[in-house]
Amino acid sequence: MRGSTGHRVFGAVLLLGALCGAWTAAREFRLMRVEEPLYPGPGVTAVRTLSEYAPRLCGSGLDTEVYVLDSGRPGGTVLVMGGTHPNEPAGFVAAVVVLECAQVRQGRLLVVPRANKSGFSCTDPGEGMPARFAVETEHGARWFRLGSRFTNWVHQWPDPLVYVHFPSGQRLSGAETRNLNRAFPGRRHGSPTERLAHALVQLVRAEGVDLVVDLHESAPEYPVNNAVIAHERASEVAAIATLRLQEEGLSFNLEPSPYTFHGLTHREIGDHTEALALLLETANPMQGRLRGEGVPEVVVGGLDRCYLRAATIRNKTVLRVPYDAGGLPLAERVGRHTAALLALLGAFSELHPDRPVEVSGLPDYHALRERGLGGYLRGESYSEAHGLTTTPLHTEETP
Amino acid sequence: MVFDVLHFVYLGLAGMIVVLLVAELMENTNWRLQVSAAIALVPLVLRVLLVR
Repeated sequence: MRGSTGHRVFGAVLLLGALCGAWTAAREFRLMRVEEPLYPGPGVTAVRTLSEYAPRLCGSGLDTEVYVLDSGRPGGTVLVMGGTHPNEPAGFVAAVVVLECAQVRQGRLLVVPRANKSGFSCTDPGEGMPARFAVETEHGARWFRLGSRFTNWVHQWPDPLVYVHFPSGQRLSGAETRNLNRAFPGRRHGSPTERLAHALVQLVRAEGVDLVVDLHESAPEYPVNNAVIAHERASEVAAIATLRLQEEGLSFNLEPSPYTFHGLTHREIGDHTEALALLLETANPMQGRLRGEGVPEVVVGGLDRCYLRAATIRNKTVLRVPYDAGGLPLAERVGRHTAALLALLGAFSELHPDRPVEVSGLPDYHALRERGLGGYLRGESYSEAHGLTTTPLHTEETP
Repeated sequence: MVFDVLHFVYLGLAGMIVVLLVAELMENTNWRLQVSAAIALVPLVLRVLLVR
């Protein structure tokens, strides 16, 4: 049946609407590839790329920046990793605070804020996550990407039905093949995620890293929370640091790295390199199964009405962390990471006086709670005034 | 190689469906079907334009 002129006009209007919808969706989708600018602080002495340690990563979409903060004085070397899971914002932002604020007095810090850069270029499909969130600073609003737990399908596809970890043979569900924190120690010729893990292990070996601290978050109902998870060789450092944190009034649990759970940084870097490997966890309501709206306010404010309700039921045993109307703000979670990092550096230096690492300028938990996260994030004006690099690799467009 | 071939086969099919849907959108006299065709066009246009 041929349509009348009226139907054709209506069809043309609908076609125009569909094209506008496609353009809007495409623009929003493409903006997920845009990297937030980072502003290296005065402590940064060099910016490298991970592909310098594993050339196969170059141009793969998984290459990432390695910020070097070198005191010039002999001491230990500590690697701080954020963004291993890009959907865990406090770990990533804490690494950003380190590279923008810390000044190393002795030894060296290496900071990889976006360990799985591919995961920052997408979000978890079906999770209703916001693409980005903003933090108010003295230099205006700073925006950050909220990414996916997994490597982008565009960079690694398809998933197998069963993921077999190398070299342990451990079997996990297929999607875990794109989980960086199940891929260590990685393989030179493996999947893109395995190659990324291998490159990070190469970095640890090449730079003679003494201590690796991987910054993470987990759901408030997850049993391992507000915790330091330590490889057995790092347990002494972790124990001293945990005691110091508790003396400061910060509740932290000390968890041993399971011997039989493979692919994680604290297990595999500890087993396959000389470094002491640790992982930090804070509670993030945005990540949990019980959460309500997926909006940026919950990412930054940490107040979710469904978790507030969950905190009151079953004799308050559903959640593994205290949760009230104050929520779990991002500043507080970042403060937990920086406080734990400072305590770990102190404990490491105490136990290894021949390889101390001394850092100043890094805010602790109380400083971040008082001044807020915005007080410790730099911006364009600071960067321009000090002639520092703002975009180490590339930035296409600002949303 | 196999994935490359499948990729172009998929793109060809998606492009063909876009053409059929646009024809349906302009010629069909049932407004509900026209709206359905317009909605179905959005993800297909993204696919054909390689927005991924």
